[in-house]
Amino acid sequence: MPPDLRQLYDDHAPALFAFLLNFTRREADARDVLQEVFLKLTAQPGRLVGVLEMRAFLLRLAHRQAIDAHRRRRTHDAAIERAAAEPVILFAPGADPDEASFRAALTEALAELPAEQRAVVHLKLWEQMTFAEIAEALDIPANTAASRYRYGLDKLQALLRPLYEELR
Amino acid sequence: MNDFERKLSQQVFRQPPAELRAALFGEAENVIVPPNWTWRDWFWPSPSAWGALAALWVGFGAVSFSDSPSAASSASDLARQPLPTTTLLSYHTARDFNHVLDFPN
Repeated sequence: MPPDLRQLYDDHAPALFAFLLNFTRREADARDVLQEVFLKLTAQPGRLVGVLEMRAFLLRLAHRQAIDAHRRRRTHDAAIERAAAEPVILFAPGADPDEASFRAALTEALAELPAEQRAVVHLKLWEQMTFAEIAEALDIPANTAASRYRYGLDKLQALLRPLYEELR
Repeated sequence: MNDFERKLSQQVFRQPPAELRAALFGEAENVIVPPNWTWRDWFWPSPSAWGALAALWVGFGAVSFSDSPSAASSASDLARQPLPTTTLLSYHTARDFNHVLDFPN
């Protein structure tokens, strides 16, 4: 019996939207892909039967859908990178100005990473997935996931260290 | 996870826009779930054309069947007709006998 889609949306859409927003760096794309994922599941509810790790399954579906959407538009990874340069609001607004400036700097730093590194960093830091789970979600070997994370994190650290040290 | 990673992971992402949920499930109600397989699927893309063709075949078949003689009568007619080889053989046999008995042909 497939799960209730409204419940599924309430449980997982915030995480999927965050991942898509960070991966595509465009709110319109994140919305479109999230919508496509759930419309696909509405049309084919049988795909959800027997899924054990629902979050991982949905993230995998969202990642594939995001890549397909870019391929369809013949923009591919280069466009994701171009879009990464466009301003986007990734994080929830906060009252603390220091936190706000750190979030703004983090948003810019994430834009410096290649899309696939960003995807791994996101799943590791914000979804607390293991490299094996990330590997399965993104269809890459676990070693590749680990190395992408290491490179991505090193770059973020290099870009954010001054501000991070200042705020500590 | 070191302090830097912990600091990053504590940053909270934006929520999806509230209207997205309403729009999504509004649209989802219009999604046509494909029905189970039916015989009509075989006749894609034009069930009417294939149906008309099938009706024509049935019509031709019916006309052809009614015009042709029945199987039983055809067999008895054929049985009554002498075969051409049998006729030829009879002629040769009679001529040979006439020759032996010295009857004029």
